[in-house]
This record gives sequence, structure tokens and C-alpha cells, in this order.
Amino acid sequence: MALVGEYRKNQFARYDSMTVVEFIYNGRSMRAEEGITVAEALRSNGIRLGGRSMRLRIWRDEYHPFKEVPSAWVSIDGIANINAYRVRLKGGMKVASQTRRSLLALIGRYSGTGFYYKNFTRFELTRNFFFERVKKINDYGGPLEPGKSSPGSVRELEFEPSEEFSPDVLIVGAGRAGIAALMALNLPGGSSVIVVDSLSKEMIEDNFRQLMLDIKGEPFSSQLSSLADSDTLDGLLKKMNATLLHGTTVFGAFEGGQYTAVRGYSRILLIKPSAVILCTGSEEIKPVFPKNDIPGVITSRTLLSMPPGLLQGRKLPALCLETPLSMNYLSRISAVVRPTRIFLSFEADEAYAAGLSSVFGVARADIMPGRPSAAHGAYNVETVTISPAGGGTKQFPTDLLVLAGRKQPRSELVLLLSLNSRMDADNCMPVPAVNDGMLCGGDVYACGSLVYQDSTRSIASAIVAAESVSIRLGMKGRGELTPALNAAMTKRSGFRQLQPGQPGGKSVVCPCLDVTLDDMSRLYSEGYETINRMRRFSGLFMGPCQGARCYRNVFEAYLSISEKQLDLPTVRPPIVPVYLGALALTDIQIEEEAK
Amino acid sequence: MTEHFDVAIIGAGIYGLMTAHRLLKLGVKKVAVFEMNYIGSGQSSRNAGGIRAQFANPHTIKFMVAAENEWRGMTKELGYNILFTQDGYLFSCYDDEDQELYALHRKLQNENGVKSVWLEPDAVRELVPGINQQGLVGANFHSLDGILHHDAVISGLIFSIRRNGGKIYEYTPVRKVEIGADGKALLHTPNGTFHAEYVVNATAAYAPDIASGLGISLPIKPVRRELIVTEPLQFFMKPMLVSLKYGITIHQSLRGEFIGHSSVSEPENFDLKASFAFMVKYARDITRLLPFMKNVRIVRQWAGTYDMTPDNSPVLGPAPKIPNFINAAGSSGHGFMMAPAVGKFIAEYITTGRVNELMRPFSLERFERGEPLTELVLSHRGVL
Repeated sequence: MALVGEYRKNQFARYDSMTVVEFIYNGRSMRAEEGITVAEALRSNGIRLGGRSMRLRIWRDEYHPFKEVPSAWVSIDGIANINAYRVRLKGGMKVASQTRRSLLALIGRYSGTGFYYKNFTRFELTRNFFFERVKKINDYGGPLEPGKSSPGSVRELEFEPSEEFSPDVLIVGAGRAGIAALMALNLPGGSSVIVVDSLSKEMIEDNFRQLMLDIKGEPFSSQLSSLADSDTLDGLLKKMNATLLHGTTVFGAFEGGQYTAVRGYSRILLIKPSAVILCTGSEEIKPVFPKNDIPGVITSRTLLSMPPGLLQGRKLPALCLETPLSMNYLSRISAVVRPTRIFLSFEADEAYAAGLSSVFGVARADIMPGRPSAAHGAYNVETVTISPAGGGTKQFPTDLLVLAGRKQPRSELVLLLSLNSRMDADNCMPVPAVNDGMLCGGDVYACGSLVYQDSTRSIASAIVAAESVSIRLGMKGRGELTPALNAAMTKRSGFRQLQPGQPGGKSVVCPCLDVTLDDMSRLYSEGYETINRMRRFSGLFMGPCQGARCYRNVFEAYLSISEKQLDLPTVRPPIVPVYLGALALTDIQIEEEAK
Repeated sequence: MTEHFDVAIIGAGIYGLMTAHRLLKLGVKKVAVFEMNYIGSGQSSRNAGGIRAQFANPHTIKFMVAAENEWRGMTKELGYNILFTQDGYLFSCYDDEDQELYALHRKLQNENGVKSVWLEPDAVRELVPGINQQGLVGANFHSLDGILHHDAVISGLIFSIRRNGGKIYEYTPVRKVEIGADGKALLHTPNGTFHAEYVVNATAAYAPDIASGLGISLPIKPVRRELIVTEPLQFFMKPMLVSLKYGITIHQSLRGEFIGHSSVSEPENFDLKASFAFMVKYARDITRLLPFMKNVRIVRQWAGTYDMTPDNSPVLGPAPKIPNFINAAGSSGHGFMMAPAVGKFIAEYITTGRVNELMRPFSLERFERGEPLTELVLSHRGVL
């Protein structure tokens, strides 16, 4: 038996405990150091991760395009669907892989694409087949007995009543970026801050220590006001009048700026902040359109994050407005690029068109209704094809097409939920551009994404976001990139590309339901031509992660098999599974319909 | 671009696609379906897929019986498994509800060809293990009601229509419909104007906009409705469970997920955002009805738009005085159940000129005549 010793020496080693404890995995007794994650403990015992794909008959991480994000759903002490990378090992823990005997019949074991595929396309296969499979595979507690209060062995849980908070600032995510944002806040006296993270307190303290190491010697560390006198996380929290809600996951943002979170599994939290800083990391926040995937096409957000001068050679840029954006936002675009033509996908009134004309200095005749339609091969670096209302098609020469509209970042889960809950077109204004992962508007500020080991970028953008919030709440701050922050931002590492053609074409696109790249191209060739139709057939985005892990893969895979426009599905709460029992104890008034 | 079609159908939802499919089957050659978004983007891909005949109005009951018969043969007809299972709808009855009403319902249904029966608590428990037994009196049950997979139906219809030479124009909103001097219809879209002998307005809550251009006023309003889906459990609950007391439904899909729906006071618009009030209301009600559900997690919540009419029944058939403009909208939450019969009867009208007796009571004139299809006793509003 190899303990974590060797493993701890590498980059992930962040814990000093040497207490060795015993735990149970699938009935086998194992040993590992207390306090490391369950996934690490399993690895040190030769178990690569807690999940195995029933459908593909492989370990799930083996063909996964992002090895750092394996789908490690395990059940711990009888509670299923727990991410093994999120929980620390304790002595006596009972861990079970979800591909063997689990309490719940889990998504992806026998269902997923395989199930849909077989049943949708061969109509003689019906539910009898399904029942046979279920009976064979799914041994979760024996047959149901009449009169038994709960079916099978669904575990009885205890739930607690909900709690309400109304802080001045809510920081979602207490990774290095989240803690940096907390440090950079400069708030009026008496202000309160809430920091929410799904990790345990110990792991957040690790993040704090890691942040301290990361920023040591960085020129921008002087911008962190509270750095000097707080050397522990508790000290920092006390100084900032902040409450850390660890083990808490935000699962929704609703109209009126109400955030909902779940603490542990048992308690719902209702949070109504004045401003929000989202530091939710690489899985949740990513630009949907990567810059170079469609040559000549760029989104306004990417545009605003580009260094000035990069687009100077463009002679015939065109702008396509997909939703009516505020003039404020448009004037920021006009500072970077001057389109010669503007296409509107919506019906604009006279005043709006006049505003556009004056902001961009474009003749009124060059502002025209029409949406570049994919059916006409629209997005193309030389020409853009438009179908005007009068019929027929028109082609216009262009060398750069800028897409602007609030609909673009559809799958940036938390972020999008937040924007939906708060924003209308008029306060859609980004704070100074930081990087392509950053988006802001109204009361919602998002910091850049932590892409793999690239932490300084995300810390720098978190500082800008925090300073912007401080300004909004009436305090001083720069809220923009200082030279030191800018230098940190230029260190960038590229996104990892999805690699098709793994052995057997089994690159897993959706780790929850085991949909592979091959599945997607097969679906495409069979007539499921848009992502929305593929999703309805295969279950993409419909697993327990609700798209958090797969949307980027889906998007990249789709671009590799199709020329068509992307139609990513709407993000909806809850973005993590929530127990009905906890929701039922939530204290809100509901206007019931007259029966 | 001026193309001429025998029939132009506006809206590629279940009504539009089903009508196109049936027309092509009857030998009509040039059929086109126009959709403003992607195919099935409206309520057709947002519903729970319940099919029932347990209504409380003779006309509706007879229509649903016809529709259920059509659904039974649909898998074979489309060559595509629509996962239709007939395990019944179970309307649970508790002691604080009026049991007389349940009896009246059964009587009315039995008279019109639906063999719904009364189940004693023991039988209810057998069908729905884990149901709250405190105060449970029994249930109305009809074993031929069932559940299908809506996405499978839409997929099957698309393949069938394309195979038979029908055309579906996606992302092509019809801005205006006109009837020319020759009596033929003109459809104005951003992609050009199209000519058609017949126009079918199957645009659900958008139908009044299309019809108003022809001076027809349709009493249809959009209302947001929401559904939730949970993580999967082993399959154990066959029927669709409805509680009129709480105004909720729940059923278990073949994947093991529970899919549920509840009636909360919702805004009358096309808003498709999710609301927290619905999530909490559903959680409160379902944990009272099926207590074990408190240990089960919601994974997703979504919203769709009901197209409601004053009597919760669709407007079907040719418009008054314009025989080649046919409305099929306002299904008020049970469009999917009725769809194959709707498609069949409208195709029958277009090819023969006869309005089927079963469809006649659903005409727009019923409101003027003062013969709305109001349900006898229980409102079925809010029940899928």
C-alpha cells in the first residue's frame, strides 16, 4: 500500500497532516492520511477515481478531455452524487463508487445516450427490455414492499429551516480570487460581506495560504488593503466584517437579485446583496466564443478586452447587434473599432437608430435590419450574408464581424443567472476590461477565470472587480488595471483543446452522461443538427452537473463537426442538485392560484 | 423568392408538425411548416408528456378517446419509438376533498367511453408506493391514460415529414398573413413571401397576433408554467399521479427521474425565467403528497408558456368566413394529448372540406354562441 507520500510532493500537496486513518471503499478497508481529499485518498490506494462509465466500460477519466476534472461522483456514508474532489477524508468514512452498489440508480449508469439511442431508434425495444436491465444492474435495496413508507432504501435525511441574509457585498467562491477580492474591498464602516464557498473551512484556509504564496513579491500586492495585518483567514474575515459560509453552494439567482444557496445539504440560504462579486472559477465562467474558432468573427466582450491597436488594419468591420444594448456600452465598442455597417437582429425604433448613427458615425443607410443567418453561410471573413425583410439576400464585404448582445454568454452558469436576475439593457456596462473571462454589469461583477495553474490573472481581475464594487458603494478605489495588474494579466495560458480521435473515438464530452464526441457527430449526421436537438435526444447538459462541466466541451465538439451557429441552451436554476426537503422548509410567501 | 404551397402551416410545434405529417400521409404534395425559432422550441419540448382522457366535459372526453387511440399507433406510424406507455392517470382523493365530485367525474367519463374506476386506498398504495396514507380515501384511475416522450415524438415527426417531401423552414417568422383577391393566402416572412391555398395557424400563444391581421380575434393568453425534474430513482411508480388538492402532478420517467408540475400564480406573458416561488411551492406540496420525496434532489427546473383560453380548451377548425384559414391553438396545457386527433381532423378538413363531428364543438364560434367547453365540476387548470 502506497501512502500519499510521493503524491504529496507534487504541485497539489497542500496539507500537512500525517495522521493515517482507515476508511472503507466498496467494502474494502483502505488507509490514507486524514484531511486529504477523498479522490486523493483513493488515488494513493491505486483507485484512479470514484467513477467508472458503465456505458463505455472505461474509467471515466481515461478518455476525458480534461483530466483535471474527472467525473468523480461517489457516495459517501450513504449520500450519493458527491464529488470526491470536494470532500476531505475522515476516519471510518464509507465511500462507494457509483458504478457498483449505490443507493440511488444514478444517471449515466445505464441511461444516458446509450439508453436513449437504443430506445428511440428501434421501436420494438420497449420498456420490458428496460426493466430487465434495471433489475439486473440496479441493486439498490431490493424490491418495494407494499405499505412501506419509503421506496427502496432512499436514505432518510434531516432538514433545517431556511436563513436569510442581506449583506452589502456577496462574494461567491472563496478560492484565491475570492479571497483576493475580499482583501481588495474598501467598504464604508459597518458594511457586511458574505463569502460563500462549497469547500470546507480547512480547504479555504489552504486557499488563503496558497494566495499568500502566489502574491508574495507581486507588484500589485500593495493594492490589497488588508494584506499587512492579517496573516490568518480568520483575521482577515474579522477585519473585513465578513462571514464565511463554507460548505455552501449557490444554486440560483432569481428576479430582484435574490441569490439562493444550500448549506451542506440541509439548509437553504436566501441572500439579497447590494453587490455581487463572482469568483466561481474556471468551470463556471468561460467565454463562450473562443476568439479564434470562427475566423473574422469576434464578440464584443472579447473585443473590449483586446489591447488597443490590434484591430487597426481592419478596413470594413461590421457590427451585428443581437439585442438592444445601451449607448454607454456601445460607445465603449466604438472606442475600439468603427464599424462601417451595423446589422440589427431586432426591430429598433427611430430614436435608437439615431443614437447608433451618432455613436459610431455611421450613415443611416448603413444601419439595417437583418440577421446573418447560418443557413446562408453567414459568418465568413470576406462577406456577411443578410436576408432583409423585403426578401432575397444581400451580401456585404467585411473583414471583421463583431457580435454584440446579451445573449452570448449563455452557459456561464452562475454569472448568467446573476445577470438575468439583475440586468436590463440599460445597465449592461462592463467595468474596465480585464480579460476575456471577465464580465460585469449593474451590481454583478465577475472576476477572470482561474484557468488551470494560471492564478495571477484571476487574482488581478478579482482585485479590479472588488475595487469597482467599493467605488459603487461610495468608497475610493481605482477599479481599473494598474500597470502592475496589467503585467500580471498578460501572463496567459491557452485553453486546452478538445482532442478528437482518442482510441475508439471515446473522448467524453459530457462526463455525467458519458456522451462522446463520436455520439455527437453520429447524432449530427442523423439529423440532430443543433445543440438543442442533440441535447433533447442525448441528455447533454441534463446530468447532475447541469452543464457546468460539459458546456465548453459540447461547444468545442460542436464547432469541430458543424459549420452552423451555436444555440447553447438556457441556463436554469438549480445549478446544483437541491433536496426537496430543504426547499420545503424555505420561509417565503407564495401566492397560490385559486383552485 | 415566391413559392407556392398547397398548405402552409405556421408553427413547428406538435400541432403544426402533426398536421403536416397527416397531410403528407393523405397525399397532399406541397406542405410547408414555418417556425420562428428552432423546431419544437415552444411548449412541445417543454411539457411533461402526459396523455389522459379523464376530463369532465363530454366533448373533450370523446376527443381525447380518439386522440389516445391515435397515440397508440403512433410508434408504428412514425417508425420511431415515442416511448408511449399506458399505465394510467391516478387522481388521488383525500378526506378533505369532495368525493361526490370524483364520482360525478367517473359517471360522466363512463358515459362517454372512458372506463375510469374508483380505487380503494390499498390499490392506490400498490400503484404508488410511498404515497401519504393519512386521510387517503381512494383515487380515480383510468388505465389507458399514459405518458410519452415528447422529444421522441418531435424527432419522429421531423424525420417523417422530411422523408415524405414536406418542408420545414426554421428561424422564419411569419410576420403577416393576407388573403388575396383570388382567395389564396400570402405569408410574409423575412425570407420572402409565400403563397398557399390553406393556412394553418398553429402558433399557440402567438396565434392571436397572426389571426388579428385577418380581423379575427382569438381569446388566447400566454401564461408561464414551470416544471421540475429530480435525480433518478429506481423505476417504481408507473402511473401519472395527480393531486387536485395541491394542484400538482408527478410521474416517473423511464430514466427514473421524477417530473413534476404545480400551479402557482404565474404572470401572463412569454417570460421563460424560472421562479423560486414555484420551486418552494412544489417542494412543500410534493413532500406532503409523497413524503419520501424530501430525500430526493431537484436537478433542473424549466418554464414553458401555456396558451390559455377562457374555457381551457383549444380553438380548432376553420375561421368564420375564411374557410382556408384554420386555427389550431389555445390548447391550455393539453395540446400534446390532443395532437394526433387535431392533425387528423384538420388534414381531413383540408382534403375533404368536412369538419369532423368531434372537432366541431371546438370552433371559435362557441364563444359567441355561448357554448364554452367548461368542465363540469373540477377545474383542470394547472393539471397537465
